[in-house]
Amino acid sequence: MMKIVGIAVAVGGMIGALLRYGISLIHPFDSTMSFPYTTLFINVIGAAFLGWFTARIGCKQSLSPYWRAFIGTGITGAFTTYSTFALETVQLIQMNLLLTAVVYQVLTIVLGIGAAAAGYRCGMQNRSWEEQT
Amino acid sequence: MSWLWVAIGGAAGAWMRHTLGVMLVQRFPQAIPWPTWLINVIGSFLLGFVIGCASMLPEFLVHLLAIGFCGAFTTFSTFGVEALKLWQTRNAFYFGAYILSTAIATTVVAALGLVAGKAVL
Repeated sequence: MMKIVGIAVAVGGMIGALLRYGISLIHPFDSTMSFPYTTLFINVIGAAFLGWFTARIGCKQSLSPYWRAFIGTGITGAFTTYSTFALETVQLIQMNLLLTAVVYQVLTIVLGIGAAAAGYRCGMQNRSWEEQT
Repeated sequence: MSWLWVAIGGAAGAWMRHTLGVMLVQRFPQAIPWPTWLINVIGSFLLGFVIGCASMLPEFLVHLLAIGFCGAFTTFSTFGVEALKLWQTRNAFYFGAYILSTAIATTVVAALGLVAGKAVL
């Protein structure tokens, strides 16, 4: 079973990474652009989705561990990224944009956790509604 | 072709995160989610290193390692949900400690990785 979960994560990771790459091709971050909106957008959307997904699967056992691993750990986990976020912060500091680097960090973390909370709340509401009916 | 390398790197990165996460969770059942912390810190160093010496590497390898592997190995969504859970369980101290230590450690090691990568050139 662990092996199949691992395969589900790998296939999900492939999809998540490709989605992130696709978005970054449409909106690349280069040194002429002053703010890495693309990564911010990707991470906030992904955090909101994972918050929602976590709440939805919280008590329900209807979704198999393979699907959970595929969607949660694989697609969403690989779609969002921390390393690019960290490196872009360093690049902003290197460009002498210290304030922008701090704003980027604070904005990503506040919006990211806020989005996860909002997604979680939505998921819980859906769930209680389903359990009542 | 670049998408193919991103896909392969992404699959490997996500699989590594999953495998390492399962291994570490059994070993360190702590209040602070150390597995994700460690994964994000290692991945940030690795990305810094790859980008630091990128001019020496063939393009496919940069796609495979940087965008594919490091991007998928590290994760922001899990970090966000874990922080949220610490907040929900009223672990204000751990909540702050997890966020601050992740933010500082990943930035510092990404810079170190960049320097190390350039030193290899």
